[in-house]
Amino acid sequence: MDQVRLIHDFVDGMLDSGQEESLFLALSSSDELRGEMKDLLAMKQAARTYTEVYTPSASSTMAVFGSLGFDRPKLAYSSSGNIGWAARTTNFYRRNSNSVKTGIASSVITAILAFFLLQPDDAIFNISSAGINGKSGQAQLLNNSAKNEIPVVASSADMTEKVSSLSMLNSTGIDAAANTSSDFASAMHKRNSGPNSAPADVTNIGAVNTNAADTAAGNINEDIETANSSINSAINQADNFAAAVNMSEIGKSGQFTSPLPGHLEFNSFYYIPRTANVRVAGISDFRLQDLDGFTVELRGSQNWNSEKATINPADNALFNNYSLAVFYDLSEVFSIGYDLRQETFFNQFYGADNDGVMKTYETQPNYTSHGLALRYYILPSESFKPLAQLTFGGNSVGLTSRFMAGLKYEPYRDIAFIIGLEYSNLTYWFDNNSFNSSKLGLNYGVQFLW
Amino acid sequence: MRFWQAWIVNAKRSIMNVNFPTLNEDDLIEFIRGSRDDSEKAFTEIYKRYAAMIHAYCACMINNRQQVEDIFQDTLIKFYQNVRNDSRKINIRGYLITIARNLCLNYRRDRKLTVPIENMEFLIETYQPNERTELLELMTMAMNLLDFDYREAFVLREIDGMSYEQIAEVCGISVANARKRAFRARKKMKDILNPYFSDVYS
Repeated sequence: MDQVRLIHDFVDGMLDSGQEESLFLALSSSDELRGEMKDLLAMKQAARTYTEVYTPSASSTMAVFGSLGFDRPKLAYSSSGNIGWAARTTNFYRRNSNSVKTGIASSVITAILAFFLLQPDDAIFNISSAGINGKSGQAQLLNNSAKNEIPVVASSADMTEKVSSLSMLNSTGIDAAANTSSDFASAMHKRNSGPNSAPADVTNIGAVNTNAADTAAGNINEDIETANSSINSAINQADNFAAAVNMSEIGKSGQFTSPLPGHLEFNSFYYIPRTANVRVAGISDFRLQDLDGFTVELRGSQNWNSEKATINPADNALFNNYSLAVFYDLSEVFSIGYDLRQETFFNQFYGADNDGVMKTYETQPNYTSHGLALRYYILPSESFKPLAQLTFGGNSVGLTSRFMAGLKYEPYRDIAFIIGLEYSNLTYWFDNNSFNSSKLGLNYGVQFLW
Repeated sequence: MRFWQAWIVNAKRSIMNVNFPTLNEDDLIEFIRGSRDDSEKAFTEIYKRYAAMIHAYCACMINNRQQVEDIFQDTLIKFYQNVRNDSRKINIRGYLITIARNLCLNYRRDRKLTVPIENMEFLIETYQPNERTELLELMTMAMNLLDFDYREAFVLREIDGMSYEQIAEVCGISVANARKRAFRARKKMKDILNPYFSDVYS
């Protein structure tokens, strides 16, 4: 191996000790080789201190992180000495965005479930059949579909109110029935206690109920038949009562069915079977009509930045310039809703870089923005409804505010079309200075109504 | 498979308080493929470690300053996107340089070889060069006189400090060939700079 090659390898750190020894020997006797070595070392040293090529420009760093939707490595929001509440809110959101999103999602799901499950509607909290067998003289469960349910004890005040309203219903049905066939109270009385008359109210029914457990069933079959027809007639005319109570079991030989709804299960006067078949509404009970007042809106948009964008997004996000919104009609003219959109803003801001040099940064990243929208319809009864909408929200870098003026065209009952001109503004902070980016957008979309 | 990787990353994250600057390359890649929060921190760490190297490579391989910045940005953005969509084990340094190299080659292939006179910009600067800047400028000029392959070998070895094995992998050549290219590049550089060295040491 020639000596020059040895020098190169030595500078390159690739010589073993034996080769180094022979090289040093050669160096000691040759000026030319020593010069060669100096030159190579100078080149190597210069290359390693070539800081200009090692240092990416601040704008490149900003562009890379901005394009990926990330914060700058040295955070723009780190110094919060005199930063405003909005910036602190943004910081809070940025740090806790996952928790906030999870919380909002949980709340929405809980609200929807509660909306469907806790309807105070007997059609949902349905009572199919409940009764006691009076034949044996003992309270006995007839429909044991839910054997281990714990009876509910209502407060007596609550119970009185419910019972009296039920009595009114009951009486209405009974009176109507009495006009056409025979008196309901009389029939019930006959059914359970023979010739003794009793007022046709729930208290007495309860008493009858109790009596029924003590009454032998042998001599009442005929009366039951009569009562059955009366009751059925009464049911037909008392819709509310019939909706609350399933009386189809009434009239079966030797059985007496409590006419009380299942949620009035137990008090000191009434025995209601533990197995009252209370059914919590399931998904099969979901009806689109229950979403009355809700609308889902899908919009696309064409945007123009207020300042001429000098940089384009490196890559547009999926669903860029699309938004999804859910609105709830507070009244004919006001709707409130949640707006989720994928968009870009052209950001131009300035600040000192790590070396204290003031620089202007330009970037156009993708943002996922969330917003709370309030919409006002000017002529709610027309097919063409002019509208105005205010939206406030935020994204990962700042706060957004928008105003839209537009038109809603409702050619069909379930579908409407939206078009509007929207001004959007993004306020964000860098090195304790606030900056704004704004744009004008033409929004167009379709709205599905319930 | 990706589900389990994500699960492992989350488990690690929850068990230990992650100090990203201390993570090795494999862990950083795992975190980049994880949640957005982790991904951002891991990418930031990778940026801190390798941005200078990538930028140096681009700056030495491409003469156009604006193109250098564009290629540098594209390299890192592509790196992030590719890593997120790729479940294979990755050598970060090699992967980054490979992307940058491909972009540089694309640029060299697509660039216009002539520039209309009206698009020319003239920059007049006055400065007092010192010995170091003078040598660097001469080295830059000397590098531009090298063939792409030799220049690349020189940059990867002398500027980016890569081993010959890594250079061989990135360039798709043998290790011996990589050493040979680096040696020839240095020798050629030395020959070009000889008048300067003679002047300095005389």
